[in-house]
Amino acid sequence: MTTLSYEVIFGALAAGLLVSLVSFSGLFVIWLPQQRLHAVVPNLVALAVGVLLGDAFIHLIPDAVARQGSVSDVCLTVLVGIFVFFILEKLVRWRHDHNVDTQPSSSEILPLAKMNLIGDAIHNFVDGILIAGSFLVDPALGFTTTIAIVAHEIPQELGDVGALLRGGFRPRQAILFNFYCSLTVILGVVFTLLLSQIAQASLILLLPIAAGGFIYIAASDLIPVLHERSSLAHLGSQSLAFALGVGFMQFIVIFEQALLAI
Amino acid sequence: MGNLDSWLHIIGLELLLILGCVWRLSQKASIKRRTGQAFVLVLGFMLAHAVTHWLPDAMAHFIYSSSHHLAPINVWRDRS
Repeated sequence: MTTLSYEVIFGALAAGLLVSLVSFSGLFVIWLPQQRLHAVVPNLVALAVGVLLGDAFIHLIPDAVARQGSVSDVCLTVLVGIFVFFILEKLVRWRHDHNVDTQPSSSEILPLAKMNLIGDAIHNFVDGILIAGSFLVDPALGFTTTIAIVAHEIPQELGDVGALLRGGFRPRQAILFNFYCSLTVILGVVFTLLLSQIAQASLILLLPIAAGGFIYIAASDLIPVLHERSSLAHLGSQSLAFALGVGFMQFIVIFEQALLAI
Repeated sequence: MGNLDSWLHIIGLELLLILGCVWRLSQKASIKRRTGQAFVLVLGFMLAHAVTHWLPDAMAHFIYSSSHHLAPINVWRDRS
């Protein structure tokens, strides 16, 4: 670990702000006409499913295993994450509307959007810890970690915006709420800079819990939405978007390894 | 990597971009007002920094670049 120099502090904060800035990558939906938006949203939701599952199974779980060392402990914590998100969704539905429909009515926000925001906030907090943690080890490693995180955030934010739109948010609201959730990156950075030992240790729990949350959101909230339309055209476009999300996450792993090899 | 000024410039630019986006997207008058004020504040800091640090340095280097014998020693030392 290096000492807490201004380069580490400001570098980590600048990297955190950059990741927050990436949450605006779904901004284009504001300028899409309503009809076009309706056609695009299911594909963005399918992209979100691929990215969330890819992130969980390709990034978060292997990273947690590498830190924890025990596959069975990590799997158990992933299950705890799924269970925690199940309870959270129950509470969200019970508190707000007692509604189990997947169709948004008027201005109502569906639980899938709220769950997506909670999952995204936890994931961004973890990203903040990873960024600041790598800057503490070496600023050069901090840059490569930031580039890798930004690269996987772009498709993820696109998918998140799609899920929020499907959950009843208006385009402007979806972008803004997605951005507010992304600010947890800064919290993660500050938390790690202040309490680096605790923050690094907390990753053993936070990584698999975030993975469990992603698996839960993708499987229970988003995939049922994809089954609402079952034509051959939807099968083709949604499968492509799903595969694209997973493929992109796999590409990021190769990209990360290439960056670390430099 | 860069010095403290470079980091502050990067953070300032990122803040300006974020505040600009939030200001543009927000439809609530109170949020618009607050983000607008924050935008002006950050921009003010950056301009004040430019006026008090960057501009005098740039002018000194421009003036002394043609008359090396007049330049204070620290101008060239700082530059290198």
